[in-house]
Amino acid sequence: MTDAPGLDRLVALSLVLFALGMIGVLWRRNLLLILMSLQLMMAAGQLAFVAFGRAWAGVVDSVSRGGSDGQVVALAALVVGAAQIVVGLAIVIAAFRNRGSLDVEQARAMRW
Amino acid sequence: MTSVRFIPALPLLAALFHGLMIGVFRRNLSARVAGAITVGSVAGALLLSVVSFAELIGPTSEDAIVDRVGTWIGLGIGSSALVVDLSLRFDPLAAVMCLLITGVGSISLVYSVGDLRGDEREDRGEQRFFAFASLLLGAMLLLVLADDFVLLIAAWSAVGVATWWLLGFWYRDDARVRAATLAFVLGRIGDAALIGAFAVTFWALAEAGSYEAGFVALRQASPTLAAATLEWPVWLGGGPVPVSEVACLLVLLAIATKAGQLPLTGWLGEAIGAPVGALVLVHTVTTVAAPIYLATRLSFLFADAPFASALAAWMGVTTAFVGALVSCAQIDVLRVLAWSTASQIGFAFVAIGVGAPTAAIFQLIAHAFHKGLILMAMGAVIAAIGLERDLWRMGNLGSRLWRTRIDVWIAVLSIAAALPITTGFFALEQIVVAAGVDDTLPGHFVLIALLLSAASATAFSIVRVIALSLYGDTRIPSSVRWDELEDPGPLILWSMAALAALTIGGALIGMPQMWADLLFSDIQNANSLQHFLAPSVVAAGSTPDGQAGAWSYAGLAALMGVLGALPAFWLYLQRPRMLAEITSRIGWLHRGLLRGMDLEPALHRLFIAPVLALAGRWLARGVEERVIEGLTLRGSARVVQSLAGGWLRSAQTGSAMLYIAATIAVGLGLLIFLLHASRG
Repeated sequence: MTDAPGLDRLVALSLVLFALGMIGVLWRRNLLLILMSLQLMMAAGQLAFVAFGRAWAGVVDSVSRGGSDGQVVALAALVVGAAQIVVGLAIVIAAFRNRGSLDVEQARAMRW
Repeated sequence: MTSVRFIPALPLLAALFHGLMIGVFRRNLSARVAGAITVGSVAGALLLSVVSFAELIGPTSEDAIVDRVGTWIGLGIGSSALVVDLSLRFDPLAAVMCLLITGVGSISLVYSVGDLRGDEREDRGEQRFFAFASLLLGAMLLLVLADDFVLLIAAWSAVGVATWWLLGFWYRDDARVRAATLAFVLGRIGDAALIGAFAVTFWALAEAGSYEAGFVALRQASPTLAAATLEWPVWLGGGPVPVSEVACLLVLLAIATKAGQLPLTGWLGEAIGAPVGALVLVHTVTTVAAPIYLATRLSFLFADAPFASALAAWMGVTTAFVGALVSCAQIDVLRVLAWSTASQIGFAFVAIGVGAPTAAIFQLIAHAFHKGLILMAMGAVIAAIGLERDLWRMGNLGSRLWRTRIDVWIAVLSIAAALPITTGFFALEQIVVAAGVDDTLPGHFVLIALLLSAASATAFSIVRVIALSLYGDTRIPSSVRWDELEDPGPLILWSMAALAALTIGGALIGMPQMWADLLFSDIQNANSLQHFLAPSVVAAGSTPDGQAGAWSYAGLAALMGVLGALPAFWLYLQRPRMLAEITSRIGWLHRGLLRGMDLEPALHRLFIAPVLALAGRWLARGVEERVIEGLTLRGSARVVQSLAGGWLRSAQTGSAMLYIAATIAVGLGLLIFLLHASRG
């Protein structure tokens, strides 16, 4: 696997994805799009896990199962993320039904 | 595959089951069902004890069966590690104790099933009773099987708690709870002393370079313990004192609290307002037995501690004497028996003090048999005449309760130690002879005189019980119909018969050689208990058998029993007027004895009242009201209120965008900080 991407490139990709997600969360006003951007940030984190897990296989003592620790964590995070988006989407739908809009700037009922 | 771990586990599991049923499932089982479960678990433990005992004396002949359940505490690394295993050791001493505890325990539980079933007097909590009884027996079995100090201390505390619950079983009565609580609080002082004893030995061995908590290792290291010294505090005179002395003195404090020895006695005589089955357990094989076991287990330590040994002997003999005298004056029959327990246990500590631990164990066995028997029999008498405990309102009951009378007679003969056919007789013989031939004790002559007088007073007090309750003219309350008086039910009768058989038969296991030579021809090793226990104990005293003077002490002991017993019969049945005369002559003494020398109130004033005063005045008003409530609770609430009501509120804009931005900003800040810190 000589042409597999190295650690630095994978981490760079992960950083770019994370930044894109963060910009989306900050920029967007639509609740649905904010949620999607959040998912992008999480995916970036999982990618970093897998990348580091593979790079440090056999280096750190505790990684003794052929470097699968990072993948295990990423998979677990994936499952949690899926559960999270289900709840999130349900809230989005409920909010839309209630207010007829998904603009987060208008949803300020929880101030002081 | 050893089954030693199941000996304590079975009763403890029964206790857990009862606890879950009562506490979680809110189901109260009847006395019969709950009792069957507990009796079954204890009888199972008895069976396992017998099996393990057979294994121990079997042909493989190991010193002990060790059951290592697992590592419990592991501290430190390498050669300086302290590892405490959860480990049980079934050695000869533990074997004798296990057989005694499970045997007498199951008999008394069978009695309790019969006793509580007909009990409509108070809050019916039969299952609660059996939960506490299972816990007490399980904890006691754990205590005797513990292989190290740590587990023993834990079990010791558990015995204290279970005793508290069992003695305060009828918790709606303040007086009963008060007595039980005094027992518990005193016991906690003893617990602290026991931990101190462990700490001292542990420290001494750690100085010598090894970390040990196990009894086997401690015994092997006893020369080190005897050689190591501590400094007395200056106000006690200064100077070095051997570690074994300090440890033994602390152990003695623990013992005095648990076994009700002077000057910490008194609670034993007050804590009588419990079911008779509970009294049997507490007074025979558990609470007051634990100290004797502990002193025997640590006999190697006492062998190197002459001062503490002498103190033990003196503590024992004064308790034996005072306890017997007090029990001579009591009116409440259960109080007579309770004070006599303190006295009987005192005899055992004389044996500990003169370096004859097997005699102490034999006295414990004898006491368990005859005190259990007479408590049960008197419980049956009390129940028959409508719960009347006043000895002066009994009389001539023997002619109606004739089966019970046989049991009472056997118990009385054993306690009075008057005839060489009972366990109690030979136990007392051994103690008196051992104390008699050991003339190294300080104040030896006075001690022997007190010991013999105590034997006499014991005989007097116990014969007084049988004379007043079963003979003479009847003085029963008018509410009780004489024609309807009858012996208790079969469960109670059979359990009493079992203990009566043991009271007689137990004599065979610990008969002194010289008596065996006299009574039978050609028996080798007659005192089989002594030979069996030999690997487990260190007997500092010389074996009395065959020594000059042994027979004179043995004869004196038997004579003193008779000298105490006969006048009691004569006075209480034939010469009531002379009795009244004597009582009025020594009025001040009689009143003092009747009040138990005011020891129980004194203990209350000494240990309970100061705590209550401290809690009431200083802690409740000062600390609780001012500091905790005023400063901490209300103060913090006020601070938060003032902050939140003001400018902190305005941070809550409700704008999700702002919140997200703030979160990300903080996250970035943290990241930069961490990166910076990790670079150095």
